[in-house]
Amino acid sequence: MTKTVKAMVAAAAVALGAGCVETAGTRVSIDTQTGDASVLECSTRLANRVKVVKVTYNDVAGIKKATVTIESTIHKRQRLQARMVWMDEEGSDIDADGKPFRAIVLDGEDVTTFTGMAPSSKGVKARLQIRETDTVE
Amino acid sequence: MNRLAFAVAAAAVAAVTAGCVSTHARETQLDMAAKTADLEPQDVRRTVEKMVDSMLADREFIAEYVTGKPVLDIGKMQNRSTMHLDMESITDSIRTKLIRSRKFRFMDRASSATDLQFMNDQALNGMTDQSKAVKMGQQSAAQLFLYGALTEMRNKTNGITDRYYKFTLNMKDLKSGEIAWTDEQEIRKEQKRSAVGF
Repeated sequence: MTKTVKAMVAAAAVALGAGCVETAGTRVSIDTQTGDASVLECSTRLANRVKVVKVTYNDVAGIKKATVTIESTIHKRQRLQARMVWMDEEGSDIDADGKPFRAIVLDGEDVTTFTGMAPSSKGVKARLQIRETDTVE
Repeated sequence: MNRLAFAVAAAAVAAVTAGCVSTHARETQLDMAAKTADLEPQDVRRTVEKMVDSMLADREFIAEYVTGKPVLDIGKMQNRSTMHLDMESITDSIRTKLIRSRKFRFMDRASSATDLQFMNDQALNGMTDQSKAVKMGQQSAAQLFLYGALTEMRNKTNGITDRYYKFTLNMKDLKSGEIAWTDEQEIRKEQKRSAVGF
C-alpha cells in the first residue's frame, strides 16, 4: 500500500514538473564605457553545455559592436537561441523588441561567435541572452 | 431499452459539453520556436536585424558612403517565393531601423502626391502665410537606393518538407550606378509529418 502511495506521489510530482520548463539561460553583460564584462549562468543544464570563452567590443563609425565567443562542452549538437539587447548610459533598453533571438546550431565541442550591433550611438552597454531552443514556446 | 436510454443520455451530454469550448488568449513572446517550414515572424525579424547590423558593421561601406548622413530611397522587396508575405512590412522595418541608427535619411516617394497637394493648397488657398508655406523645388534627393528580393527552393522527400529561403538586399549608388553594398540571409527549415496522429 505504501509503495502504491509513493508511486502515486512520484507520478504526480513528475506530471506537475513536466509543465515547469526552466527558461533561465546564460547572460553576458558588457559595458563598453568601463570595459567590464561578466557572465551569469542561471541554468545549471546550459552552464554544463555551453561556455563563454571570449568577449570583445569595438566601434564602427560611432556605433558599438560586441562579439561573444561561445564553446560547446558536450559532444552532441545543440540548438540554441541568443540575442543581444543594448542599453544607454543610464541602463535603459534601446529597442529591445527590435533585437530578436537568433538561432544557433552548435555542433559538439564547436566554437561560434555571436556579434551584435547597437541600434544607434546611444547604445553603450550590451546584454547577451543565451537559451536552449527546447525551452522556447 | 436501458441501452437506448444510456445512448441518448450520452449523446445529450456530448451535445451539451460540445458547446462549452472556451477561448483562451494570452500575450506571448515575439520569438517563438519554429512551428512550420513556412517563414514565420521570428524569421522575418531575424532577417531584418541581420541586414541592418551587417550594413552598419561594414566599415568600408560606412567610410565611403555614409559620411554626412546620405539620403536613401527604398523599393518594395520582390517576393519571388510561393509564399504570401507582406514585403512592404519588411522594407518598413528595415527603414525604421536604419533611421533609428541616425546614420541615414530617407525619402518617402509613397507620399509624394500628398506633398504636392500640401504645396498646392498652401500656395493657392489664400489662407497660408506665404513666408511659412512650403515652396516647390526644395525637397531632398536620394543618393542611394535600397532594394531586394526573397527567393525560395522547396523539396519534399519521404514526408519531409525541406524549404530554403534567401533574402538578398542591395544598396545602389544612384550616381555611379554601382552596387555599394549587398548581403544575403539564408534560412533553411524542415517539417516532418508524423505517420501516426492527426
